[in-house]
Formats: sequence, structure tokens, C-alpha cells
Amino acid sequence: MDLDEAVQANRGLDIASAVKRSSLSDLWTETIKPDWYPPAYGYLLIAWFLLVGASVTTARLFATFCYFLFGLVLWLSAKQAFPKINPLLYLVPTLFLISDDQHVVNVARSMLELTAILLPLTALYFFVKSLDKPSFGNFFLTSLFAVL
Amino acid sequence: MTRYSHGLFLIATLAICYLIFLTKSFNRRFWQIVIAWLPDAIFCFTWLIPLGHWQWLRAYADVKSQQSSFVLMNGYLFYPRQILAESSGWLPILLIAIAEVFWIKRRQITQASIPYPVFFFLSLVVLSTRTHNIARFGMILFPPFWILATDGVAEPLALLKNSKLQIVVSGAFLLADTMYDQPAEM
Repeated sequence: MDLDEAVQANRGLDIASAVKRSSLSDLWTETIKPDWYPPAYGYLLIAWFLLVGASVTTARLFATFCYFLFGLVLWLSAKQAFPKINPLLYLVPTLFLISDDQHVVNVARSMLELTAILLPLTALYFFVKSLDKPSFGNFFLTSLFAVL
Repeated sequence: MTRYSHGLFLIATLAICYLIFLTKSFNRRFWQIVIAWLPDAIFCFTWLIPLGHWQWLRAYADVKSQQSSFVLMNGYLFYPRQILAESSGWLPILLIAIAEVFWIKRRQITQASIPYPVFFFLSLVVLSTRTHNIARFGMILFPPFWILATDGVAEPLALLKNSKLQIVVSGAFLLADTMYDQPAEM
């Protein structure tokens, strides 16, 4: 693995290891320790590792999974922002994502960027949704994804 | 830059947008917003103060370039240049400009057209003031454009009265959008 890839995966592995040992103190230590990556990111990654197993392949597949999820968020964001247009055009942002080399290459290298971009864009989606439907749920989900 | 700070300027974006919309869409929703944000505010306070992570935040804010004591113009232009160099950057900008012509003509802007540009602008400012510029750090700047560009395709297409023709032109655009891209700088 590339050094950046390994550091990224390690954040999830440390927490997953604490979960597997059922050690609450280790889990707490891993959660609060200073790290390049926020704890919520580590929790997303451990959920993935616990679900599909921990290996170089699955670490890289996590980035791929986020890539597809991000495509979906872009589609939903366009739908939310412009509800009255031709539904076919909601694909425009998703296709920009597919055609952009930076995103594809960094997903292939399983870098953190896309996961880090996915969360704020999801928060913005819920913010725009709350403009249309100002409910407690939408305000809360905006805040949750913003802090994640 | 690429780690915690997306959340930082996102929260700044949301703060600005809440202030803007409190007088409009969120009229009489103030306390609902406060209560929705309360658990996260408590979490952030606990994270920063009792757990002591505020020092990392402060260290991040105080960090200076090891190579130069002043910010080079080159640094400010790195990300704008990256946006203009890639078709996934300049093409959405062109489409947004087209959409804006229609918004101005109608004297009405969509509400979604406020948070995305604010988020882009704050991201660009934070990125540009860093002296360590890497193309992949700039990835965050693109998605807000892509979302808003949707209307830049939709508005001119709405001028076509024939719905079948609309679908054909949309399909052609989507196909061209996927197939055409210039090699990105890594």
C-alpha cells in the first residue's frame, strides 16, 4: 500500500481491532487520540471492515463504495436543487464525477479525499432539503453530517 | 487542509446560510434549528475543550510555510488555474453562467444557488492561503459547480418545445459530458 493509503486504512483498523477485542477503554483511546483523520471517518471505515473483512482490497473498495455513494448524493442534490427540470438532467453532476480524472484516480488509490468530500456535500444536500421542508429531521441531519 | 477542515468551512457556510435564510424560509424555525444543532454543539465542545483537541485546531490555524515567509501569487492562482484547466471545471462554470442569464432575466434565483457558491468560495479562500498546493486537495471545489451546472443545461433545453427533442439533446449532452475530459494534473 501507498503510505497515505496505509495511514488512512490504519485509522479504521485500530478502532476495528478495539471493537473485536470488546475493549471499551481501547475503543475510547482510539476514538480520542489525535489523528490525521476524524473519528467519525474511522467509525465508517470500521463498520466497512467488520462487514467485509480487513484487507488491502477491502480498504480500496471502501473508497470505491464512497465513490458510488457520492454519485448518488450528487444525483439527489441536483434533484433537490432543481425539482422541476427534466429528470434525465439530474445525471449531469454524476456524469461530471465520472468524467473527472482527479476523482477517479484518487478513488483508485483509495485516498481519503472522496470520503471527506462526501460528508460535507451530504450536509449541504440536507441543508437545501431543509429550505424546501424545514423540519427538525432535516436540520438535525445537516448538523450531523457537518460535524461528521 | 484535506482532513478536518472541510467540516470547518462547511460549518462556516451553514452559519452564513442560516443567517441569510432565517429571515425567509426559516422564519419562526430558530429554536428548532438550535435544538437540532445542540447535540453536535455539545459533541464539538466536549471534543475541543475537555478532551483538549482545541490545541490541534490552534496549531493548524497557526501553521506557517517552511519554505516562504510570504504567500506567493502562484499559490493564490493554483486552484483557479486547476479549475480552468480541466473540462470538469470550466464547463460547469460556463453552464452556470448560462443559468445565471436565465435567473437574471426572470429576476428570481433558486435557493440552492446560495449555499453551494458560499461553500465553494470559503473552500477556495482556505485552499489558496495554504502554500502546500496539491491538485487533489482542490477536488472539493468541483462538486458545487457540477450541481449548479445542471440548471445551465436545463434552462436552454426548456426553450425547446418538443419534449422528444429535449430528451435527444439531453442524452447527447450527457454522452459528450462523460466521454470528453482532459488529462488531470496529479
